[in-house]
Amino acid sequence: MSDAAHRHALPRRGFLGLSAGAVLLAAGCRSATDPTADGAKGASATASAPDLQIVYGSAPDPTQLLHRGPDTPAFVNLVLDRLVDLDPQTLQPVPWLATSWEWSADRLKLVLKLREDVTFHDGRALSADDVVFSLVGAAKTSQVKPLLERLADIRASAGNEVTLTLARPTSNLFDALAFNPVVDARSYVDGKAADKVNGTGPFTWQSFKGGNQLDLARYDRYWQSGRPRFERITIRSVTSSQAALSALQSGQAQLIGAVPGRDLKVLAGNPGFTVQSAKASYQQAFLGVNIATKPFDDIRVRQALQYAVDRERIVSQVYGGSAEASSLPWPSNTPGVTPDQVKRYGHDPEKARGLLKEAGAEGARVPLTAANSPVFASLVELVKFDLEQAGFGVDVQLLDNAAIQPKIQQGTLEGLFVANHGMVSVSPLSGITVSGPLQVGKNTSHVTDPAFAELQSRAFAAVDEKARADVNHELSEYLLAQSFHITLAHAWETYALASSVHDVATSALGYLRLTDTRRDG
Amino acid sequence: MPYWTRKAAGALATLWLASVAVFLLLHLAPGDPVSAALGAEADQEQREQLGRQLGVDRPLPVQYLTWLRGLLTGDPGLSFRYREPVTKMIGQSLGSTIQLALAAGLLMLVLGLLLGAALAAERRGRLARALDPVTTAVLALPVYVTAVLFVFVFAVLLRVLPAGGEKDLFAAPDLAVQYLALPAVALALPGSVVLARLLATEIRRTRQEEFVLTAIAKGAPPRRILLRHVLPNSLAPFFVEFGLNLGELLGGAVVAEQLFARHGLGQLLLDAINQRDYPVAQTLIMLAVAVAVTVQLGSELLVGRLDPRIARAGTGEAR
Repeated sequence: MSDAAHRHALPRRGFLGLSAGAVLLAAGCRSATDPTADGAKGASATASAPDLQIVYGSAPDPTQLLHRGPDTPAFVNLVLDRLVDLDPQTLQPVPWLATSWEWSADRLKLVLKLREDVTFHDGRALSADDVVFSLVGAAKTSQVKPLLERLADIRASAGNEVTLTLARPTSNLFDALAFNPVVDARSYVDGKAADKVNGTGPFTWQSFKGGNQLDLARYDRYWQSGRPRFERITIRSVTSSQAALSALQSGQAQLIGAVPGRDLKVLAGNPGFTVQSAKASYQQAFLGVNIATKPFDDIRVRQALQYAVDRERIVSQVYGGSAEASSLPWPSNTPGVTPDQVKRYGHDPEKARGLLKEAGAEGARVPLTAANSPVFASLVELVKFDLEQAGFGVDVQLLDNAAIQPKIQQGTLEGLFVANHGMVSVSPLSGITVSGPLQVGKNTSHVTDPAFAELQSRAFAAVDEKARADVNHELSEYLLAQSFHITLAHAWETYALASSVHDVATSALGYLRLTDTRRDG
Repeated sequence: MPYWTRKAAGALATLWLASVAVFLLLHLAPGDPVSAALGAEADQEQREQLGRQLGVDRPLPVQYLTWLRGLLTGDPGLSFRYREPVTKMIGQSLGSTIQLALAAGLLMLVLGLLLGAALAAERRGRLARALDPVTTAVLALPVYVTAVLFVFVFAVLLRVLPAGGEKDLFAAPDLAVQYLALPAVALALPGSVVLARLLATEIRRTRQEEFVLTAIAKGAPPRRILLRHVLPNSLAPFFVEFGLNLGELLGGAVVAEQLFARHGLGQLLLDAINQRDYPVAQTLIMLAVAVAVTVQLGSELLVGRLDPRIARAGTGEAR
């Protein structure tokens, strides 16, 4: 054998050996891409795979079930139920755990009748005490607790009846009831649910592995007869949208949530997948304006911002079309809102420049702050371009989420900021009562106008539909005129599904409803 | 002072300085765990209550000493976010990262050795000539590009390997290996190419050493020259670099775990930093520093053993 052959002999032989070994190994073991191989359970090769595999961006967090309101992960709805749901079209309450309700003549007392056939996953019947516990807990710790501040008393007036007493009339009490889930009073200790969340929803909480995989199983005694249709659901938390898309494309998942706009373009036209949007917008992106800082103390400068931003381009480029361009923070189907208000500010850089010139603010340098995430970075890019076209000089600062949150809470953001919020999608009153950027009295924009507070008082008292529509219209006019909150887009909660999955529904809040969902084959 | 004592003392000092730096960097960075946990809608009362519960209202030196004492006694406290013991959370994710790091480390070592030997071949055949541009390309491609490429080809197009996720190595080893394959290769490739080039350079340099020329002149067979004379004297820098790369695997794992949806320490660290979950983030970073320092110490001691001249340097035993 030659010298060269000597030198190559070992690696070549080793390579061949390794290859042969790999082939033998591959022939003898299961394939991880075979849907019948369920290694997660350590089961045999014939074990059946979970019926539905979901990939979602956020992980379930049992400590947050009572505290969180609008940010509660969407799949909480699969394990827990709420007292009422909201109709996605009319945003009116529809029965859920509460089958009916009755107001007193003075609108200060609400009696809720509960379903009698509801049980928790441990078999115990739902009682009025559980509802009281959940509402009292939400009134103390929930992010939407301002919605419950007018509640003077919550008590179980009978085994399946809860009476809520209000200190003053309030028109949006059902928003709070639709947000807060009903939890098991016995397994919820010190604001934290047990490791295995006990709810009344269509699926039971089986296990939560490694902080990122939630296994759910069908609850056979669910109060909706014959539902749900799946035996098992696995939800994996995957923060990278690229990894989530790969999971769907490779068949590892049949449903992925919170799909970014650029991925929608990848999936469009592929018959293997369908894209579904909860068109009742939940997340609304906006350009916030601190009116305590110059030049934004001048209303003409703020209106120039309204004309400067190109909302249609944002909807197309950032959200892949899965959003709605609007001048208002609440949805266009809100009672009292007119199409003219929704489209009040179109993209008109010329008009924006004119207003800036009139205000003597041409070329003003303004700070623009946002959270450092792919969506916000894209939004900021487009907004910066638009503002520069209108004659502003823009200094961008991207902060991570933990750094921007205290600034929003303390109202210390200077100039302009891009962010999003969700409460406004339910009703204008709930938006201006709970959402930090719009909250009457302590909003991020530093608006202290008594007229704003007066509109809120009137909205609280507007208990009939006509009065509510009237005050919503006035609130919309007020926001459009004052322009301290520049709506950019209503981003729809968007899911991508394998085409074999059918009947996935979403609630008015953008939460998944898989009670009727089925999968071919 | 003996060689190993000097090195161990240096390692301890590095660890202590790192603990101070990690603590200060995280606490002085903008943002706080209370805001991250409560979101924008929380009121002042809720904020103060949570701040007291988490202990972030206490002076920084007190917080540092409490954490350090916990770290030294094996109990670094509770996660701010999940209210679970940090050790339990790390334990849940440790297996995933160790599997990935071991697989990637092993691949890096084997590929580095094989590629290095091939690149340094005296008679540059087609293989060696083809390897040059390939290694350059791999060096130029960051992990996230190779990862996305691998996923597209092997998971989406060919569907022979899973796109992401993981399985329990002990419960389903055949599946776990398949889940490991793509992230391990993506993570190992850049390091193995660096190692291969280093080894090739060292082999070429060693071949010019007098003792190798003497062996050739004496008629020793080429294989014996390579295995007994050239390789052992070329491996010292290779192992030092390998040690450094092992220490850096956690950094690479952050990216690989994200792209391959594995819930390991890298992902846990990223979440902890984003949420300002100080106990988890600080402990994980210290763990990474401790691993890097230990591996570095080990490789330096190994080098000292391989080449006694290095161990004797600076001890007065230079000759």
